[in-house]
Amino acid sequence: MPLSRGANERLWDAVIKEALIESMNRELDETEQNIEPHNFSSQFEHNMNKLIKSMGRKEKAQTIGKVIGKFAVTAATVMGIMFCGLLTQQEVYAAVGNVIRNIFSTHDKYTYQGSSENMTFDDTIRLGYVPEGYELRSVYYMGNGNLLTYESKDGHNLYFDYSFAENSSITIDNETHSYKEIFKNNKLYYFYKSELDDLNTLIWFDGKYEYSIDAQISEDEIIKIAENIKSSK
Amino acid sequence: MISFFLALIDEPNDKEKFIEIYNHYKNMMHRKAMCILHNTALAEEAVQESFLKIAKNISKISSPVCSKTASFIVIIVRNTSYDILRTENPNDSVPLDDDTFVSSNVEMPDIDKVFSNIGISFVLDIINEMDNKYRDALALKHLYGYNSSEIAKLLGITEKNAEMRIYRAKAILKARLEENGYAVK
Repeated sequence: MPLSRGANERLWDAVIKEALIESMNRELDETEQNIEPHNFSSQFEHNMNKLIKSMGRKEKAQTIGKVIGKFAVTAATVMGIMFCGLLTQQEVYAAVGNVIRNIFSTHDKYTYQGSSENMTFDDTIRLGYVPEGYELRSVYYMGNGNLLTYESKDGHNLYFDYSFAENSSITIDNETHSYKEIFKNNKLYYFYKSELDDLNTLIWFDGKYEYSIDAQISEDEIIKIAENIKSSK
Repeated sequence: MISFFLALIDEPNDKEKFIEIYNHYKNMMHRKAMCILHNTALAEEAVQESFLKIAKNISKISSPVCSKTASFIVIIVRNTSYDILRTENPNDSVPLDDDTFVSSNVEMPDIDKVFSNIGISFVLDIINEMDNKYRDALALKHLYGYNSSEIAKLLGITEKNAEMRIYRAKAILKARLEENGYAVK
């Protein structure tokens, strides 16, 4: 009895699938022989770290439950006490109130608990000021965040990235960095000064986005950059 | 209660899955990209763009290290590399896909007649000899279950192009079968 057209199609789909598996496996066997490790550039590693950090923004509750077992000192109360004078200012209160800093033995982790629902991502945010000699080299669009790389004439990189702050977290090494909070123009900045390679980091939140700058520049310069970000929207 | 909690801990979340994929495949991806681009900086760009696509589809990847995932990654990095190559060499005469394609089915000959005389190896040979762009689209549809819209995003082409590539892949298979006397009645 001849097969129906539908049955014939389904069988062909199964055969094609089988042939594709064989073909792909053959290609894999050829590809995976004697692969030498590649020494990726520091910019690549940096971009990949940012991409990895941007993942997990919508981790489910059971994943957060994993972290509970590792515990840590939560500095939310400390932050609230230190900046209680700011709580009368509505804009800063929202930012500080939603930012929790967890201190682990090897790193600090900032978690923002707020909502970006119904917000449109602005991918035109740029640096209005950059130190002399730096130029924009690339913009890496990650979907829910952008990473901009500026490069100086002597080959130093300055990384600026921003993304929706909703349910996000930023992790930063605290073993080889000293930590300082800077309050300026109604914004609270978290400054990490490197004790190894001068690659300093500045982190801040504005209620909608989280921002970070990584660069081998001074505290004053990095704050000046942060104070001058701009959007063309 | 404890075993439930432990089961939650044992299940890798998307981020950990991605990290495992990244660590396991980055060198293979770079090598694949270098074969096409012959430039380290462009190859790194291709690998980076590929990981971004993988990150967006991470929830559809069940096992981070297996041949199915490896094949998927090869498809992504290959097509991303060709995309970059086209951008870098716009004057090279790379034929563009026809964007006026109207979707239709390819009617295949009776399978029992084909396989009573020749085996799957014949189909395998046709698939192996097929242009990568057709085979990749076919694989994304049949092996990974992506629809045309998703395939288009993964390959950096339009949805029409994705449909056309799947159609042409089957059309090539059918044409080769007809050459060997297995026409549709």
